[in-house]
Amino acid sequence: MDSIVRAVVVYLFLLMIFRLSGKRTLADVTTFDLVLTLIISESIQQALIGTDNSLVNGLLVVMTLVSLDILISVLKRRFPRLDKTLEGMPLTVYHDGRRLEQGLRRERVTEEDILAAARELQGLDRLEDIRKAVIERTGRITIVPAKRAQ
Amino acid sequence: MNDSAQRESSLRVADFQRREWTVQRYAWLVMWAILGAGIAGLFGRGPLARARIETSGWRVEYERFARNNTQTSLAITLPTAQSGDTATLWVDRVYAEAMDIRRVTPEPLTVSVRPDRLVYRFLTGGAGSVRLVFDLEPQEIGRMNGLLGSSGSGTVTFSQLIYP
Repeated sequence: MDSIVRAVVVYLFLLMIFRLSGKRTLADVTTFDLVLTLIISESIQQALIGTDNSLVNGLLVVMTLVSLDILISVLKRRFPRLDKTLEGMPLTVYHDGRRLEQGLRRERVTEEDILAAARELQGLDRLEDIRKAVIERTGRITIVPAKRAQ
Repeated sequence: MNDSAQRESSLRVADFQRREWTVQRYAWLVMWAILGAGIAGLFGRGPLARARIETSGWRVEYERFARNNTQTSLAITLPTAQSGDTATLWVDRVYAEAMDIRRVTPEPLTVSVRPDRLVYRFLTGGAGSVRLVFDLEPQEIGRMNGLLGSSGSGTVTFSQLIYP
């Protein structure tokens, strides 16, 4: 029983901490983000498993995490407000040559991040070629090219 | 591919998808049932796992379901003679070896080894009963039969299922 309770607590804690840390955390994995992911998984592993190294415990923990994920996805579909609370909303940070400063600042996104997404996704390398840049709910930046750049 | 072949192929895909969804939904139900059983303690560490035997002055508390390589405890309340100041408890050797006794609280005065049992002697200070806690770490999987005894107080048997 305690391993299931631990898994639920860890799942909800991680859900909350990543939601509160903003959209961009771990969205585009840099070398440091990868290291951070490894450190987080290493630190949480002890809390999940404790001293119980049995196979049954491992299977129960995995089953709990997967079941919670299924349950929350079902609930998110049924209750749009919960979906919005847990996943947030897409946020436009650049539109028709205008930088939306508050969004950029609050989500800690730089012009360089937008240009990197533009190069990666659309092969564009100038801000003028971008009509719209959006930070999606997943934290990834997507780009809508300006008409002349298409 | 002509029209009818294409239609047949997309029907096959739709049929496969429907079956996949059905299997998934049943799998979720099974998963949730297993978790419910886990919370109840069917896989150890929960209300269903706790067991107690009370017989002729003995009280033995143990886990009916325990897990391999994971600590479990065996608490024994043993009736003791008012006259003496020591109590003796023996544990079946096969059980003791399979369960790997890590710690005994309170610490015994002596432990002696017999071919079929380990004999523990404790200082009781003349109390009517003594509570002993054995910390165990099962080393084998499957059904384990515990057998305990004490000179003058008979024996107690119990059974545990050790999950991998």
